[in-house]
Amino acid sequence: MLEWLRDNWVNLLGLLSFILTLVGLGIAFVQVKKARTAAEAAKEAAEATQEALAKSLTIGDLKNAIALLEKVKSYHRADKWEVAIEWYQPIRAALAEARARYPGREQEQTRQINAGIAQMTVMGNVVEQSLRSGQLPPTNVKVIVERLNSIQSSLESLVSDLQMTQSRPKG
Amino acid sequence: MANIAEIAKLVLERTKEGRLAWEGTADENSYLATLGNQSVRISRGSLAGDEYHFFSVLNKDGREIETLSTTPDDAYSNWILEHVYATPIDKNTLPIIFQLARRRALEVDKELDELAKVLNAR
Repeated sequence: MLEWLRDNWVNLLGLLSFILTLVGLGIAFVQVKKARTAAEAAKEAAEATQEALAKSLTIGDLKNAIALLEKVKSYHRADKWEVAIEWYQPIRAALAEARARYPGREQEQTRQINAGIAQMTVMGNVVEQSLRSGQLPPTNVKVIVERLNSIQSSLESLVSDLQMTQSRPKG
Repeated sequence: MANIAEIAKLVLERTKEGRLAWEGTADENSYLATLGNQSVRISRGSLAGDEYHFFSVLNKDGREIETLSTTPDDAYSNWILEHVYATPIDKNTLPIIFQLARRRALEVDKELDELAKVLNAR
């Protein structure tokens, strides 16, 4: 046995060295994987935080626009056209803010916001023309309130979708 | 480079195919369809007893960026079509878009189908 060891110690050392190298590689592999997983987890957490923040801010913008729409509706119902028209631009601005922040800039959702902005523009033109010509109310108040309701309902649906994805865990 | 006359023709095609979601507006003679960042608006008006149509493109902020009209004295529309775009457009394009948009926004076919069902059931 001793004789065999004496003859083969170099080979044994080589084999041992090879095994140790393999073990070392294995340990290194596990450590790299752990580090990568930790880095990925940190990146994912940062992205999730950013997305949650964007959702929260967008919900705030949309809710602000909804509150302004409610206010405008009440002015229209009270025949306060000159006051109502002053709030059209802030509504468009709130919608533009929501669009700019919308998480992922989803096409259909931003299209809905753009549709709301376009509708507010047409409505604003109608009211302004009527104010200039002194023909008030410009059109059936019901039609204007219906349009405002339609925009509001579309925004409420966007808020609801955002809130649902906000409370749902990712993945 | 696309121009508004070409856009009007494409809008007519897509409307015929039922691929544009037209909506009514606060102006009963005006309909809107929003596609991505832009919207198109078709309107009808009258001047000295004559009916005319406007076709406009609105940007994402609702600002009208280009307009085409069928009024004979619309020097701007005539000039841009003849000198800038040199794109002939059928004079019926805008009136047809208007009628199709109105039908789509008011869901005329659906309403008529429902009415037919009620009448047939009597």
